Amino acid sequence: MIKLLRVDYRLIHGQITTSWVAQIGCDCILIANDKVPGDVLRKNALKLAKPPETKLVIKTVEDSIAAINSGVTDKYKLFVIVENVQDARRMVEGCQGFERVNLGNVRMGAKSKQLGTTVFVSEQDMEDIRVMQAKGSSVDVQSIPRDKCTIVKL
Amino acid sequence: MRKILLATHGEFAAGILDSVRIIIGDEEKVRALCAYVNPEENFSEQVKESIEGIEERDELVVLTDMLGGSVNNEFMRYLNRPGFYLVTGLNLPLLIALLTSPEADTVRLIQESLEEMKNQIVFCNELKAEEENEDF
Repeated sequence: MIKLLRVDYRLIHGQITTSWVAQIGCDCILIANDKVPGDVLRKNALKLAKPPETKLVIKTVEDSIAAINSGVTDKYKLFVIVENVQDARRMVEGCQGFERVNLGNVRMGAKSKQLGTTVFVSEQDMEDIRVMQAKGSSVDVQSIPRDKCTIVKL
Repeated sequence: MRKILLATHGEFAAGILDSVRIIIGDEEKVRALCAYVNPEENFSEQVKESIEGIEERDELVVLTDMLGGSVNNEFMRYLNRPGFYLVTGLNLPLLIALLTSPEADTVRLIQESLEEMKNQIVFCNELKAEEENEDF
C-alpha cells in the first residue's frame, strides 16, 4: 500500500531518513524521477543515503506508474518521493491510491507563491495541485513530521 | 526527565542545535552552552550551575566537543554526580540518534547511539555503491 507521496527536490536526505521513514512506517522508498535512473553519481548518493532497513527502488515516473499498477508494490508499505509537483501530478493521474500528497521541499522559482517555509509554487504547480485534488488526493504542506500539517486550499 | 546539554568551545553547540532544528524540529529539552564566547562569563561557574540544576529524578546528558579539551575537563569532575552522563565527540549523527531513539534507559541509549554514529563517519571516496539496481 502507498503510505505517502512526497514532493521534495532533495529526494532522500536527513529529514527523510531521520523523521519521515519512522513517522509513516514505510519499508520501501520509491524514487520516481526521469533523470536519476540514468545518473550514476546521483543514484549512488541516494543508495548510500537510504536508511539501512529500508528498500530503495529508483525508476522513471512512467516505470513507477507501471510498477504500482502491476501490483508488485502491494506488499510494501511504500513511500514515493518525487522531485517536483509536475511529477506528483503524473503519479496521481497514472495510478490510484495516492490519498495524501505532501509538499515537503519545493524550490523557489520566479513569480512563485510561498505556501510554507520551504514550499514555493508556480502557476503551473497550482494547476497541478488542483488536478490532484480533483482526483481525490489531499495535498498538504509539511516539511518535517513535527511541523504543523497544513492542507492546501487554492 | 532527561535533558541534554551541548557544551563546546565557541558557537559549535548553538550551530549544531540549529542543524537539528532543520532536520527533526525544535527540541525543548536540549540546551547549548557556548564556552569562552563572552569573556565576562565564567565557564566553570556555568558548568557548576548546570550540574547543580539537575533535579532529583532528572537526568542530564552532556555532550562536549573534544576529549581532553577544557570544556570536557570542566565536566569530568562531576562524574560521580547521580543522573549525570558525559559523552564527548559531539557530532550530528550522534545527537540525532540520541534524540530520535525510543530507548528509555539512558545508559543503553548512549551506548546504542555511539554504535550507530560510528557507521556514519565514512570516507565516502572509498565507498562502493551496489552495482545492481534494486527492483520490487
